[in-house]
Amino acid sequence: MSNDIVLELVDIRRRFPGFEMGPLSLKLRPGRIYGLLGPNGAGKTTLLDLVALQLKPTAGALRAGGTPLRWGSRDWKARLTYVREVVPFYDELTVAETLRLASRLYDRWDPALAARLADTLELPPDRRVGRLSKGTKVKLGIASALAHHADLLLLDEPTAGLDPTVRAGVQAVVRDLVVEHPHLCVVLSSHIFEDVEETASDILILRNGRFAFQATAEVLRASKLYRTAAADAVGPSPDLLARWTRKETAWLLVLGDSALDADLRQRSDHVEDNPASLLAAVYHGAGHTRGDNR
Amino acid sequence: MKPGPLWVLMGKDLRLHGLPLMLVAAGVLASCALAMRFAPHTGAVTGFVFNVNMLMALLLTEWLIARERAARSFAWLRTLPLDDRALVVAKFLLAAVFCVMLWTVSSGLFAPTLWSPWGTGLVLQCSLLVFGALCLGARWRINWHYAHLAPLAVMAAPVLLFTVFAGDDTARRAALTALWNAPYGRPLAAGGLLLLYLSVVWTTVRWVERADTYEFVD
Repeated sequence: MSNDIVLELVDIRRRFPGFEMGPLSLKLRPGRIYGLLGPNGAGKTTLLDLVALQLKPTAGALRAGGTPLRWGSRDWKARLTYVREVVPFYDELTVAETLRLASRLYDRWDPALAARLADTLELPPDRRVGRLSKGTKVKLGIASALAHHADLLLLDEPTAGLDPTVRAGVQAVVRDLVVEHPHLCVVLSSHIFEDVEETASDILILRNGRFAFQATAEVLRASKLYRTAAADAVGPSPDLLARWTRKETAWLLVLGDSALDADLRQRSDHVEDNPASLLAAVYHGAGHTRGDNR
Repeated sequence: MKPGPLWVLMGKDLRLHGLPLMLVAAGVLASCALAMRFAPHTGAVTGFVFNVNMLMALLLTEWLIARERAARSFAWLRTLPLDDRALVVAKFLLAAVFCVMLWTVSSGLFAPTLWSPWGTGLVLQCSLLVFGALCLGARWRINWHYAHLAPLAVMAAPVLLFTVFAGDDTARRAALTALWNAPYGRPLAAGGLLLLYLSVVWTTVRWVERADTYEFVD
């Protein structure tokens, strides 16, 4: 059993009419925030649904602690919280009643922590959920996640439709979560680059149901982007993080200060590119890859 | 000690729908009282009491299932560490308790002839339970606003068959009447209906256990 892995996805697939998700393999580790980027229809929600046992995989396995998860496993659901884009709490219940309902269904519920979180996140206990803003509903979801000591928090587009101030607030809450609760792993799905740039420690880009790019934020920050017309001048290399081609021009994302980086710096047919957002460049480019991405 | 998930879920539904349920039940009893006051004969009151109980079963489905589907709150419940069986059984149990209470009170007060002999009232009670269960099961499984028509069709089928194949003064009618009046006739019918009720609950449980969540949210 490996304690440093919250969940392992092993060649997970899910087939729909006209769309196939996967095969996807991934290891989710505690203390990390995985920023899941992708355009609409890329499969972000499907991936979260698979992890939360809301969708049955067509093939592959989910493993927690080395053991395959059984469909509908209560033990697994007790370890995670899934906050959807449209938070489906009961509009008629108040915040306090919603937390009370959750407290009766989770074995590991910590009432003192729930009360403290409600206070910290400024949740109005007597207000009906139907009268809360989306941002506050997301905070309610986060409070219910932490109060039962979840190991995995799944956030599906938590900031979509929020104004920049509230969005920054949610980003700050997510960032602080992992610092305060190092056992927690967060998967945050979004199509807003800033959300992922501000919060994520790991970047996952999904396109057409597959990972088009995977790297840690540190690696991405330290990497260099080169532009070249000589598309085939560089072969496969462990230092080459991603490669894509558009209109006769090829871009190479290279591990910073690596042998390949040093090599390309010397070559006149490769020009270093400095986009405003490296993540945005990779996101847009990763859809046009030739299969070299890691 | 924490209450079991079944009771938590039933308590949640009572908190959400308890007051409207009480108000509608009071309205049903008031309308039965009015029917008793103005109806031309006892048979009309009996029919009214039964039909209004059937309507309540339909209405209950709207509250217990359709709203959860539309608000997607089933999706939240399904992420909680709950057994799918508890999720389904809680709905059926609450609906059954309400159906039994309403039928017992309304028929006892306004159609007491149904309980003399007692077996008739019991069989009608069981048929209401089956109808309620079919409504819940159909609304759960069918993503269509008029899913209630399915149980109505299911209930209409045996009535139609009875009318066609056992008309007045036929040998079949006489045999069925004799079976109904036999000491074991009504308990047998009630038992059969209860088995049908349990099979509807069981098939719904099996379906929910296997279904992806999106199949039971709108």
